[in-house]
Amino acid sequence: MTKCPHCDATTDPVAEPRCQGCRALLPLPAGASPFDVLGLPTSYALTAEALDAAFRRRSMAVHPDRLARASDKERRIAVERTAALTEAHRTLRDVEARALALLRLAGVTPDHRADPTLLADLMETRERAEQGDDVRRALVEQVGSARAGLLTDLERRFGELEREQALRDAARVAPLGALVTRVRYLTRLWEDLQGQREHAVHVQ
Amino acid sequence: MERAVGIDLGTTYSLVATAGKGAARVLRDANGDGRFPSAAFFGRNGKDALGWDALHRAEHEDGDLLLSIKRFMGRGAHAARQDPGLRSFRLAAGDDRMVRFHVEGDRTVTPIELSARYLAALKARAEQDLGGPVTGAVITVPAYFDDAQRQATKDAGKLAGLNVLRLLAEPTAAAVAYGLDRPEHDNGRYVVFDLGGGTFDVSVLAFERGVFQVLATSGDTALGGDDFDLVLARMLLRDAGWDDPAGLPRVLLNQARAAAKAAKERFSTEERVEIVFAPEGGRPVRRTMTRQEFHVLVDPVLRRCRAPCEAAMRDAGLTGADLGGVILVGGSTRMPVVRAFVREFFGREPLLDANPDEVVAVGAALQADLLSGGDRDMLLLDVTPLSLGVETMGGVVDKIIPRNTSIPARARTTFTTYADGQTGMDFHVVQGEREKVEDCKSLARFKLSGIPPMAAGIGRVEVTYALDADGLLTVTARETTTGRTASVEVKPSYGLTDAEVEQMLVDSMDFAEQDMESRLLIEGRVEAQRIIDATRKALREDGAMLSAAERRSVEDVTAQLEVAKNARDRHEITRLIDALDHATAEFARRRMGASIQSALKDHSIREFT
Repeated sequence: MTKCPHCDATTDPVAEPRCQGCRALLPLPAGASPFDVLGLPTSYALTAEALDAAFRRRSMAVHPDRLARASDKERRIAVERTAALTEAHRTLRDVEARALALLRLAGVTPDHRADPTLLADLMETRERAEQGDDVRRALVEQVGSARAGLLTDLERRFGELEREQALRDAARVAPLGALVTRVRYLTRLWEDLQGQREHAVHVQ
Repeated sequence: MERAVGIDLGTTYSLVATAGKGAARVLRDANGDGRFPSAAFFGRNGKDALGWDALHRAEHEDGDLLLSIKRFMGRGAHAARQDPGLRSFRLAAGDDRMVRFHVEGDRTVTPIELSARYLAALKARAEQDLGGPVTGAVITVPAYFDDAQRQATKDAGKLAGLNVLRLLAEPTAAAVAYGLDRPEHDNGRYVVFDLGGGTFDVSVLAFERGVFQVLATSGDTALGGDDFDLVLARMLLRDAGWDDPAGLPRVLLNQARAAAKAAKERFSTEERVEIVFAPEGGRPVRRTMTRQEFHVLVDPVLRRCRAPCEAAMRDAGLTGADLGGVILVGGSTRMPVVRAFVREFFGREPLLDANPDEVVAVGAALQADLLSGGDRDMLLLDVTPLSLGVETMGGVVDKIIPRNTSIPARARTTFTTYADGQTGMDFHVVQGEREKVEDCKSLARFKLSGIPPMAAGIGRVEVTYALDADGLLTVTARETTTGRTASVEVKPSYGLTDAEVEQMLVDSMDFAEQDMESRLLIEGRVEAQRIIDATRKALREDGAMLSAAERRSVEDVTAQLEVAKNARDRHEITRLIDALDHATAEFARRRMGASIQSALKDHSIREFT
């Protein structure tokens, strides 16, 4: 709960972007999480549709274009909130970035280095992919399903922590760090195998 | 009373619309036509002409007819030399930043000046209709226009005396005009396929409760109806006995193009078209062409639509089956061959109940009304069409804001120092999709200095990219241990500085080509003004940090620079800029020290530089 900078009413800028008293736009509180910014519960299990709908709904409330006649102060808040909204939406839309955001909220910093067994696995897979297109396609399947399995695992374990209200418990969240790192390595491998590097779009 | 307008500044035609209370309407000329040809004619005898008048005179009179100049907005002379068009224009010795055309009367004009003339004509039409001055304008641009092309359009608006409220992507504008009154479209995903006279855009949008969210956009800023005309015009010239159109009289080229365009338009309603082209000095051409033959002839042009459509759908993560519909925009989508392509690519019938020529202007008018405080229950969430990145070691681009990110946007990344005792870091801001820096467009360079010496890899610099609603980029770099910052407001070097726009306003009657010396002078003046403004602002805000004597010395140098800025000696301006820099160094250090105490906000950071 914070004071409205426009009229001094007591407000909750996360639950309701506008002041209940004077209807002016409220600034985001310091340290607002991406979930706060979108006005969504802190959770790993968010669908793309739910995120998009929240993004559009919040945009309608905080976008500077909706505040053409507002004060300069309110418009500055609008620009700030909208930029934060875009960033939060993009973060949570990506399952890996979403997992990292949850780790950060719990104060957990994952080790970005892969363990030696994983590294050896990755190198071997890359070498095998050189053997030909058929092998490569089979590996895309294999790595893709391994990655999907890890993501399901991640969703289940974050789900358990969420039910037990332990998402901010660093000791309990920490073990998920290694899992997230593993997913990230597999994603990079999977994309490389698919040749999913950015294709140059026709640019004049 | 607010009199905001929306302007569709098109390659072939431009339109102006307004939306006060109630529905938007296109403003028409005395003949009831909303279209204003984007054309200028500079005749050998008599005055210059714009619009319909220009087109009519060019068919009978010798002179310079300038058409489709939108293709050259924000482009250097190099791009114009490569243009495949039938050149009835004469290129002047331009430079890398801007195309210039030679016209009758021994003058040169730039695409920005010509665009400004079209905009001024539309502004005059609006002011006559609305009975008072236009207070603001939303001007549309192809979604796929890059930073330089957008900046050039904005400069043209300023030159025409318009208060440019926003540059809006054409397909987004069209979607607004199309979707608002149809609640059954709510919650759908739509494609806007916009093939105009000279540009092609394809955007994927989601509509929900008044919010139009662009999911992805792609396109080609040099593909449009003109390209269809050219294929046909070249064929006519060949049939008339000229294999190479280079060096042919301009009147002849204009006639061939006009005949081609007329034939193309008839193919929209007729299966078989008789084309007559009887030029002076050539074999008379009279041939009957079937629509099928026409399709075969233009197929190579049409095929260029495919890659952008694939890119937009891939980026949006959708397939044809996910779509609620495909909306056609732009006069070129009247061609049956284009509709057949859309049907085949997206696997569905395109929606036809919009007026493809007018929807863009109408959508722009609705947005202009909203931005002027009009009470409209809508919001457009546009995206940046091209990725914004930073050069990293080895000339590789690290994308900070990927393409198709909603704007306004902000993104951060962290760099570590790469050498022991490194005290500075250079940043190179680029735009584009390629991996290597040399394949992208360079937008700006700046340096963060004053990093305390540390072992390699220990110093951390956080780089923030902030894009505002107009797509204007500000980049800030901040060293995390000391809070030392540097930032740059990106203005592409191909656009015009504010001082250049002012200069053009003054010179717009004689179009004198500026030489190197005067350009350097203008740049010096702009830099001087920027530093004077920043210093005065700092004095206003934190003047208390200085003693009376220190303050007087800063004020003295500022006053000297102000005088030099209005004179013509650029060396003196440079000398005084350095002097002021020197005089304010200690002040800047104190302000920096104070600011580290308080949490740094982007807008306050910018004031230090």
